[in-house]
Amino acid sequence: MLFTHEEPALRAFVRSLLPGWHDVDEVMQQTGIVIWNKFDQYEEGTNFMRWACVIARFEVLKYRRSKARERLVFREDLWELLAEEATDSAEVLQKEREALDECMQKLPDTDRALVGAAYAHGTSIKEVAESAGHSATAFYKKLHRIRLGLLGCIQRQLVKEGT
Amino acid sequence: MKNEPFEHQEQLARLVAAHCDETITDEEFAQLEQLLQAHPEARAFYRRYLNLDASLSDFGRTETSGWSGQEQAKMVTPPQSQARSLWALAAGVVLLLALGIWWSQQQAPRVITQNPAPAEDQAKPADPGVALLTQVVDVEWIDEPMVTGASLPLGRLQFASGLMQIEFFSGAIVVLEGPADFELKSENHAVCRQGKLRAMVPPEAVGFTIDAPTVKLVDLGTEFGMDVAKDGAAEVHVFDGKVELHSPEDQPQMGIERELLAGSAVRIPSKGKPEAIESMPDDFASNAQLEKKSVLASNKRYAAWRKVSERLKADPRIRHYYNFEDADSWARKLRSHLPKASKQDGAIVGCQWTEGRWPGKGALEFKRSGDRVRFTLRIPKEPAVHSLTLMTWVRVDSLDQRFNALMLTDGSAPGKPHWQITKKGALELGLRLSSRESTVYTSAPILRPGTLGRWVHLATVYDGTGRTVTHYLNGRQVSSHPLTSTIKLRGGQAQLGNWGRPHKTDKYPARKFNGLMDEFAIFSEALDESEIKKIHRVGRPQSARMTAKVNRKKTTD
Repeated sequence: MLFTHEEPALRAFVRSLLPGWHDVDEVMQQTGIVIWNKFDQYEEGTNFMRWACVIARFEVLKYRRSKARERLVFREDLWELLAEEATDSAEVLQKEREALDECMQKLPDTDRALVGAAYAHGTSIKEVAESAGHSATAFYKKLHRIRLGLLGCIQRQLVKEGT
Repeated sequence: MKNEPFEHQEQLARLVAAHCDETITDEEFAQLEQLLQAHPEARAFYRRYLNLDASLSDFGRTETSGWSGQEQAKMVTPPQSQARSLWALAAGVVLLLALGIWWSQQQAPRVITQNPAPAEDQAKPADPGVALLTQVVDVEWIDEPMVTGASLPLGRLQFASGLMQIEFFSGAIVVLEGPADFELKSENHAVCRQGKLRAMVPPEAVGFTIDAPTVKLVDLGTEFGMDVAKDGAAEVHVFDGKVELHSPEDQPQMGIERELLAGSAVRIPSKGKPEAIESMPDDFASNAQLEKKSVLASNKRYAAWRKVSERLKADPRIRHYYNFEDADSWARKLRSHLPKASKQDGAIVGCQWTEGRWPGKGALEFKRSGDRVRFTLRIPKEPAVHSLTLMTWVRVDSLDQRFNALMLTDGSAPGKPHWQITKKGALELGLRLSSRESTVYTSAPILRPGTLGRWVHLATVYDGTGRTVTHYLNGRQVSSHPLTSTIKLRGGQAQLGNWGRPHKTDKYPARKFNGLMDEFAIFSEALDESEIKKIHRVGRPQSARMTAKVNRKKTTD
């Protein structure tokens, strides 16, 4: 199914426009429904991802407006800019996601376990870290460092592949 | 933004991470907005980071749950609720485990004496290091020696002289010159109490920190040199990018806070004010120089070994000697290097030629089940031989069989030696005494998961006069056993790395060795410890490439 295939890319796109995973999940769900409903409007042969981005972007916008008074929502002009650029760099970002596989392989086992656990658990890393008797700050720092390492690895991977 | 890090990179990275983890404060969020608004390169980084965040969350899902089916269903039906909370629970358990491992790592003082996994269990232990030792050149160790390829746990490294290259898992690379006293604090933090180092820090390791007695250095993505004298006085030279200097944590009043840019250098004495000095990039060994030195050192060692190898050929006590030299990939004969040679050449069956302990040195690889070298073990009937020394350099890749052959005589007639490694990693010499009785001398497990994959010197001495059997690993005696009974030793058809004709009733007919061999010798006398030590010392591969994988523990007991 076309959409299943594009879903991770779309999630990443939505992710870059919203503050939290909870918001992402909500918007993704709504976006999925809209895409299904409007699927007959998609022109075969044109860029599906671009088309889906437009829909997702509109859904994010709707969601944003409903939460406009909440904190941590980017100013509208900045938000527009981010959405614009994210749509344009969809292909590069796709390549980066593909390169990640290789980089995850290279990650030390404990780091991988940390990443897996952190992300699987979604939003309550904090509670779990604290219930283990350790500061969430240290945990986030570690996670951040792993992510930076992965970004570097992805970059090298792409250079190696000559893209 | 490749080689030119964005000027607010560190701040940006911190803010983006906080945003990602939803720990960002309102004030920080405003700063993030500002950076993003003003700088396209900041937006590019933000995009890449969030893109990674999103893919990691996909990874997290598939990693901890058989998610795929639900993932698709999610698009049409409201997902969440049940499935999500269930795996959230499971994931919590995984996270606790992961945290436990991680924190115990953070707190482990020095893991050199890490408990070995039970030898029966051949699974590689999780690697608890924070860095890899990727080059070692002429290092004179003060504490436990380590070889190239060793993974370095948290803790202290001390050596009197020589050069080494340490690759931190953060990506930072340090070339360190002795005398040095260096301590690994994390994968991006070290303490240098003494030593001269050059550090290359890629963008992803920005924030790499070195504490010296008189200064704390935080790197901002660059290349720099640091020279810490015995009295703690430090010189910092920046070759590329910039670094931040701070007062050491225990002396915050020193007031040396400053940024140091490429081309500048500063000296911070143990007492008194820091002063600007001339930058001397050539004073600090780079990794290219180290690489060159390493090749030279390795050639030197290879040459030294060849000399000793020549001497061994002329040793009157030697009965068989294969040094695996002058190999070409078509050679199907393993040349014996003894004067009355021809009949003692080995016949290579299967086995690929490959590189041994040093670049250019030959070795045979035993991989497929048929791989072996056949030869005739010559032990004369008269005069009777009472003692034997077996010696080899091997790289054991895994211990797959109940018994893994080093040198086995065919069949199991009385007096014929069987030299092998057990599945648990013990060195073993077996001799059949009669058709029903046999005697086996087995060391403690000495080849552990951590020793696999690196070159080791193995020797076993059967001393009929002193009535002992002694096993050696890397020139060190690992066990000694009194002879239970004496028997006249016998030769015959034999094999290296495999077993020819198992006894019909034998429970373990498959005994193939898995790994490389690049030297093999049999003496018809008992060599003593000092001689074995000497032969080992001159044959050590040392910094010959990454032949080693892990070396965390001294294998005694």
